[in-house]
Amino acid sequence: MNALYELAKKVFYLTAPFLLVVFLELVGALPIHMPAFSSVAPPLALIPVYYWAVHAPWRFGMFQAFFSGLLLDILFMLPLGINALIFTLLYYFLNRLRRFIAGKPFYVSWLGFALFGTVALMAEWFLVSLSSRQFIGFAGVLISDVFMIVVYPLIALLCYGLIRLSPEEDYE
Amino acid sequence: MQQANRVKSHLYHVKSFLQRFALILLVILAFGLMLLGKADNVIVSVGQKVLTVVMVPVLEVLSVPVNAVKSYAGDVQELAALKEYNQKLIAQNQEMLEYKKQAKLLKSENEKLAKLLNYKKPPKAKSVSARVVADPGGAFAQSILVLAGREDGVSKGDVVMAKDGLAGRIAYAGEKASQVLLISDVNSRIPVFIEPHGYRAVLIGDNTPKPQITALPEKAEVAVGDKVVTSGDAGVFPAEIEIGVIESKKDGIIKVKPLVNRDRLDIVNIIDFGLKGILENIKCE
Repeated sequence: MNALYELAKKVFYLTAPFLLVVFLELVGALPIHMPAFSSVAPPLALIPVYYWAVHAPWRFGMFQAFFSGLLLDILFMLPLGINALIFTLLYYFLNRLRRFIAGKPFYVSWLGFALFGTVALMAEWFLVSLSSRQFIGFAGVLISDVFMIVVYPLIALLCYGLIRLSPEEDYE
Repeated sequence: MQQANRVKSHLYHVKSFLQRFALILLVILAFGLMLLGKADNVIVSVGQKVLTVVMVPVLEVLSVPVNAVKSYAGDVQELAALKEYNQKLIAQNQEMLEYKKQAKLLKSENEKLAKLLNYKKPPKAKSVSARVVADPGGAFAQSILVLAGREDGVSKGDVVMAKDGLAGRIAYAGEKASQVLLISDVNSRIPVFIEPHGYRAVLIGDNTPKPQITALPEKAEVAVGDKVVTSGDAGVFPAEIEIGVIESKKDGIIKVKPLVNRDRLDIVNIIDFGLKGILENIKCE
């Protein structure tokens, strides 16, 4: 029984970060029916990808970032590979620069997300426009970006709670 | 023991190789998907199959609480406006009875004239109603997922209508669910008429809630409030389906306000008018 509990704990430890990203992607695809919201809904999944890359890269690797992006492409019916590329590159650069953000006060993490999240959305706007050979509406992207930055603390809190639920010391 | 160590060593080498070249590998893979996805329908249809087979059941479960909240909110609103609704319905009923009389007369007249001209009627449209199970919001996605598929007679190219007008068309029909390309999607191109003058033009999506009018004749003069309907050209949509009205004309950009409100898309009607147009030769998975 104890061994089973330990196994469940380990499975949770290994899969929870990825599952949180998938969960947020699915939530983002639900029909919310809020007036004028559909065209500016924030891409929530970008937040945990940023959070794991900066604060717990040992629990969420580059391959997981790639597959999260691919899943988002499939779910949002976007040209395959766009979000996979953006999530992978975002993860790589954040992983390289994490020493400037991790362990610092919360506002540094938030500012970092505002910067990297905006760059990621701009890259997506560019790639989607390139793929459709036509510039798509930019105002919606900007509003979506603002929404995403505003909800960052909530999702970051969720990620933090998940780390506290299964501390890595248990598996060292 | 030695063999086990050898396997472990191999695994370690594979892991370190993957870690070292992960970025290059994944970037190449992503670009490969983007390029192949453009050219190869097989890769795209695998993605669409994953979406309709694996994700739809999960989305159905997740949408239960959302629908419950929406339903309660709707009930409360309806209760508050019950008396007003009732009066409106009585007035509408009177009006409808008048229309019914006129319609009966016109129908019999129409039948007589059709007989005189030996007119061949177009095939009867088949329709299916379906619930919207996913509406991936955001600035980049303008498509929805509905709970009706090939099992229900839905096929690629079918017209998707909401109660107010044209919503889009079926881009992919899975077994139990289908993907709808909305008229606001950047890949949507619809031949239209602008009434009352009947100018031909093309309505193109730009991923904003308000698509644009292009390919309008040079001397055409359109005004805010003009009605936009399908022209039936290219044989994908039948003629005279209402789309929206011209909302603004600014710097040569003509924006159309669709009659269908995407935020209220809940149940849609999928109609097979027997027109497949240029899509006829494209193999449907």
